[in-house]
Amino acid sequence: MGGRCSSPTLSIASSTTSGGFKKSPHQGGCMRDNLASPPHHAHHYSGDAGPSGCQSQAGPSGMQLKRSSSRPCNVPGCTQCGPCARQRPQEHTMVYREDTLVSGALEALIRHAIPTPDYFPEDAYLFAFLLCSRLFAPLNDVLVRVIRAMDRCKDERRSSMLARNVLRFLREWTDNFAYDFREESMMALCIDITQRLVELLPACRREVSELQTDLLAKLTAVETYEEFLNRCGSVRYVESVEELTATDVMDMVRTPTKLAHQLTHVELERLSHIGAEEFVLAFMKERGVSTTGDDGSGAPLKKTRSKEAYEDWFTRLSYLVATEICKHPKKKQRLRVLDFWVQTARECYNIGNFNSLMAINAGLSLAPVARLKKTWSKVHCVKCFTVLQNLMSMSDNYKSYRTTLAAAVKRSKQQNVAAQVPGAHQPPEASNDYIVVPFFYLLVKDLHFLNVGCADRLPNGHVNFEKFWQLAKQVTEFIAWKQAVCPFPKNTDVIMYLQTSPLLTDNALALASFECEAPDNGPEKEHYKSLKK
Amino acid sequence: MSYAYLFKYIIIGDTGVGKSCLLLQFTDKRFQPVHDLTIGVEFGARMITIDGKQIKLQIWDTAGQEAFRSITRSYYRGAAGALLVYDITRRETFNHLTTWLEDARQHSNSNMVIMLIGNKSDLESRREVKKEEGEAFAHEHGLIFMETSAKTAANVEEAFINTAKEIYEKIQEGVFDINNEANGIKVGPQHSPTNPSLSPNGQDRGQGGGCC
Repeated sequence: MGGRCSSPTLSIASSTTSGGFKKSPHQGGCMRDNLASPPHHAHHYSGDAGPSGCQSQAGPSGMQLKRSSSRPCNVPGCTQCGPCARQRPQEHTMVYREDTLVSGALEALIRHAIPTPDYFPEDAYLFAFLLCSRLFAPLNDVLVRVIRAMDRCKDERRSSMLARNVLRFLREWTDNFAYDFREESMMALCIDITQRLVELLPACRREVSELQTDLLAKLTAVETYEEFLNRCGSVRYVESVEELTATDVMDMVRTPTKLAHQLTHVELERLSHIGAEEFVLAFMKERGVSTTGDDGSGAPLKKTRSKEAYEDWFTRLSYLVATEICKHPKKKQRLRVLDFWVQTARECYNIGNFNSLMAINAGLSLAPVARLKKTWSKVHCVKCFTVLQNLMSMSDNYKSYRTTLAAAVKRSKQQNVAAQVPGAHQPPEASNDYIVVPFFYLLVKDLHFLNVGCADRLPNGHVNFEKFWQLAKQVTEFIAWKQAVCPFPKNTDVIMYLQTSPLLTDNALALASFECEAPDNGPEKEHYKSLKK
Repeated sequence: MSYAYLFKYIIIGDTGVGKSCLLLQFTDKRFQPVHDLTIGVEFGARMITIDGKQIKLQIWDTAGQEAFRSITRSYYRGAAGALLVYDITRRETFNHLTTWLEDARQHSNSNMVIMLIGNKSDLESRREVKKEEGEAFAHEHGLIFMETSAKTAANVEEAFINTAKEIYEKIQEGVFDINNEANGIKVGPQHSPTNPSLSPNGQDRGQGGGCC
């Protein structure tokens, strides 16, 4: 696990707790609504301005942009494409279509993201940029440029204006992509910036300290979670029914509703630790790009694996369902367990916990369970299962699931609005309706195709920013989901059982299944024979 | 759109062999600036014609979702065809074929048509697996074989269509039970004289909200 990267922050935080200034209204959570709106400041003012003679006061030009306009960056003092020189216009160009940024040169995009004394990027742009720029340039570089801009600013008044904006910038970053600072070089730069901030603008001492406390809390939380995952250990697969525990989950919870509640606890806990940037890091891994620290120190980047852990949980739940069913050689008991899980799936549907629902569905569809025809013929709720399974149908790009999800999201939004009406009393059980736990697999799949199907760069070398708006949109939606709080009472024993009980391997499941119901055709008989060897 | 048959495919193989690129090349979705994955947009599907009949191929790609093992395995069961892909420039992807094949055979219906694909044939200079080796492997395990390039589109159409032809022949021979959807074959809405009970809207039943 390595040393805690958070310790240096502690000392800073404690040294900056004095001072009594109000927290500036940073807008950490407002990305959603802004995504559709185009960036208003196409032009910006760069901190690393060139010769002072070029620092003309070009105000933010208006929005009268033509469709598909392609323009130089108009950075005051920019010697590349400003009024002073037009040698390499490409490098600073950003292209807009109907006021929406569609592509741009990497350099222009970076400049567009970095604050200056009188410019701050749009929240939606900054979010998309921080999410995706790592595909093109090391994140350290961005912070180094911020520091350089601070150093270059000599005017006292402008320095404090810049400090304000840099603080807000760092706040956005640490709020949305806290795990970036698990890497020591990033944390060192962060500390560097906070020290400069306090020097330039002593009044922001308290805000800086709050930022550090919040960041530290996030990093501690993910480390605690990783310790928990380590304690759970990797999934323990066993080769025979005898090695399993005698208990079934239905011995521990009496009703399918209660089991669905505990499943939702596990889902939301695991979901809450996933960092938005983990999706983009996964792309880099797929492409074989090294995601290890590139800061020259050779220290490996502290890799957050909350996304993987959540994916593992899905598989685990499916195999738990199959294990619990196939382990019972007696049909009557097997039937009870099967019925219990089908009803649990239905309860998950009712709550809005689509991920558990799909994992149970997948478990029930695994060949060893699906082939138990005699058992299935006696299931009370077989119609219910058919309906739930149709949700998993990939027809029309998972249309039935997407429609259901959209309805659930709409419902949860309405409920949230209702809850905000003063005096509107919400009984505790009504709060169930707020939860939406998405079918994570589909989100991962959509993002994968967005990534492989759309080019990162256009033929002219510009970054295809349309792709990254789309990526940011999907990830923003995800962030809203993961913030849900589970309203149900917690049963720690059940939660531990769900995450740690041993499971049968594929072969053991197949064997157990054949012992429940004998093979009834040639290939099954052959398969059985090969397993018994 | 009306079709005589719908065949479900699955694409499997190691990470990075070009599974998604094959799919995107075949379904004409490659190099669009941005994909819209909103509700109802058909994705991973295409119509082809065999023997004068419209056949819809619905292709399920496992790339990027390798971690969701239980999903992959539950989709195996409903697939009529599988494209097992390796990368001719990476020997290890060829060495893993046996594992993939075992996995597919164990979790699928026994009639599933499997096509072996050696992808990236455009990278001849970096080739590590000879074409003859692919052919030998396919012959030994009773698979059809082809080398493709998702980049230049060479043989991509043929790979998907030849698999469909093989499935179609099996239907003509009566090997596939076309009334059992678990085999990965669906008879089109207007083409089911043998089984009028097949609902054309069957696939949409899930939307109705509550169950039981």
